[in-house]
Amino acid sequence: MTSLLRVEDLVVAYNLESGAKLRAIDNISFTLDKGEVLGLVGESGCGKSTLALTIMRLLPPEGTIEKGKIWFDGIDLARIREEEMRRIRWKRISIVFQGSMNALNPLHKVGDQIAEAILLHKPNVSREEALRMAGDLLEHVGIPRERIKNYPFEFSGGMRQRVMIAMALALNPDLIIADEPTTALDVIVESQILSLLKRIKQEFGLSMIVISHDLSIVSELANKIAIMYAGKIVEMGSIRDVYKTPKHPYTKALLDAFPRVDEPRRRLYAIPGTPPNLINPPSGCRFHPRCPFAEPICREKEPEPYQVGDGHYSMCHLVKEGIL
Amino acid sequence: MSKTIRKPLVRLEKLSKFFPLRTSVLSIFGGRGRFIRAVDNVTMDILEGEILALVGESGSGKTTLGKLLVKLHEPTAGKIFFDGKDVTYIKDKEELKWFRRNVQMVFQDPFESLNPRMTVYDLIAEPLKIHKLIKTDDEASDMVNEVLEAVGLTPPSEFIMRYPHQLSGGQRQRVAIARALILNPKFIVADEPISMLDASIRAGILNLILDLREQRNITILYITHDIATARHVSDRIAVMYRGQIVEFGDTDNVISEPLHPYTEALIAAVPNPDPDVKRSEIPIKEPQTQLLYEGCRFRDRCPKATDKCAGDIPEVKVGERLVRCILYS
Repeated sequence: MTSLLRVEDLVVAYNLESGAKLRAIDNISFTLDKGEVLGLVGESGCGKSTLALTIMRLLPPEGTIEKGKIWFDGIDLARIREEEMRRIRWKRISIVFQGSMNALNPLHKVGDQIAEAILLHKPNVSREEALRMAGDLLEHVGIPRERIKNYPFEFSGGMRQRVMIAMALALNPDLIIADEPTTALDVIVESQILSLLKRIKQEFGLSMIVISHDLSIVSELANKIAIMYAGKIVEMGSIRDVYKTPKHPYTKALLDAFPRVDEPRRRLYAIPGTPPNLINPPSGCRFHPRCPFAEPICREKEPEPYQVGDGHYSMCHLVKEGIL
Repeated sequence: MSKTIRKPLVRLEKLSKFFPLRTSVLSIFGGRGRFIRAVDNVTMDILEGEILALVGESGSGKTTLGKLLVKLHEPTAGKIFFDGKDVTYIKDKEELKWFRRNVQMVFQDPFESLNPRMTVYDLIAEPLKIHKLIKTDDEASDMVNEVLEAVGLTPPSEFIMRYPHQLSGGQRQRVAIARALILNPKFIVADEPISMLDASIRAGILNLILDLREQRNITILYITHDIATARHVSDRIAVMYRGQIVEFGDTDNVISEPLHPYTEALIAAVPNPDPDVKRSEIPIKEPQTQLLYEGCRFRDRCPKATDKCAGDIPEVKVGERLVRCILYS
């Protein structure tokens, strides 16, 4: 089997101060093969960033993995101890966060920060060697190597995001998780960062998970896509199948609501209602209160993933019944 | 859009706003003052009943221009006309009230622009009280209910007693719009009204903006970094770059055939959800400096730049379009 990451029946909950429990991820399963790029798309609060933190084992103290397995190269990341995780985190799985301004230490030179990361995991490398590697990495992401001597504030937003990508690459990982990698960047810079991610994916033969609220960002990079809604994956498949023949009403609604610059002017579809509260989620299918097609069964029974094509699954009763 | 000639509701004449740039503590003493030219000599008309999109990246000056238009900033130079009157510097209190009643702004962040201690009812009724437009509470109540219906917060009774924290982002932005609407303004400046909202909520707010124009003939300046949403809501587009309008024209024409290299790059950079559509990315360089104030402001990044671009670049008319680029002059 070539799958690099296999998530099985994962449930992650936050224990809130009020005593309530919020299931941010509710029974999610997917696989990621070597060299594949999986896009996770959903609105704020759907659980996509929690999923990234869970895989990295960086959940805040109030978050716990309640159930499920995260198989990474034969190891269950959901079960291993922190010391073991430290040998995997950054070395084999790294992450590019959104908001690179906060992720870099403003008091240290960029080169030193990258070198530090290398030295921490490779103690037999000399400091000069680590700095040379940092320079190589910067060049790889399109920054002149002499800029290792600069501080983060001397870089533009796009350049800082390039530095973050260089850092994620520093230890030659198998998997990079990019969580909203271009949010807060201007569109021209955003397109350049997307091209860079595409290039390094090819060059390093990486697997990636790209997380975004924006379907189009994910389409640029991913070959496989999972649409998340209220803690669940509601549709998953190849990017082409999901885009051309969406099989879940939420996916269809998102596509109709999306303003494309290369289509004639139209009134965009407005999805009624608001995303649900996960402390007390709707019964049955979680999208049913906003779904224009909802039937009584959608309120009563939780839908199971239903295969609609090769590797293409939808969690919708009406698709399963052939009504949609 | 009807093709009848409409009169301008707002006119900007050579409008500028400079902010002093403190490079070091010493510059307070003596050192020659340097300035950020946030808005630099902008002349344009906003027509009655149109939705004009002002598109630009962060730091382009689009928000500063919006704030000048609602008089949250004083211009450094130039003039603003509203409804035929020079409103650049209003001294008269009554005239200022008239201006404030007719010109409203909706801000980007509905989490910060609403007072958390006020109910939806009080938030929306407050402008009525400030402007002394109502005599009785019943009158206020009727008007609040009416605008709540207009912005899609129905039934109003379900919302009036709520506080902002009890509303979703989209609902808050609707309250902010209701607050602007209650005075029955002629002109609304909406500064990135959807950028903080979720994908499924955005279209609803954009449609609301379209409805306000349709049903109330309100003129709207829609400020955005996102040319794709501008494409679907606006009649005309003004593209702003480093304080200047570099291209201005009919939305369909600007999108289908951008003339300025910056507009072209901006449109080409928009990511596409269709996996079969390949973007033809245009190689745009990193800006060399933020303080490029002679010649074309885009020339340090432009793939088509020549030596001529350092010279004076006049705004020229290409058909119905205004373009500020040496390629067309």
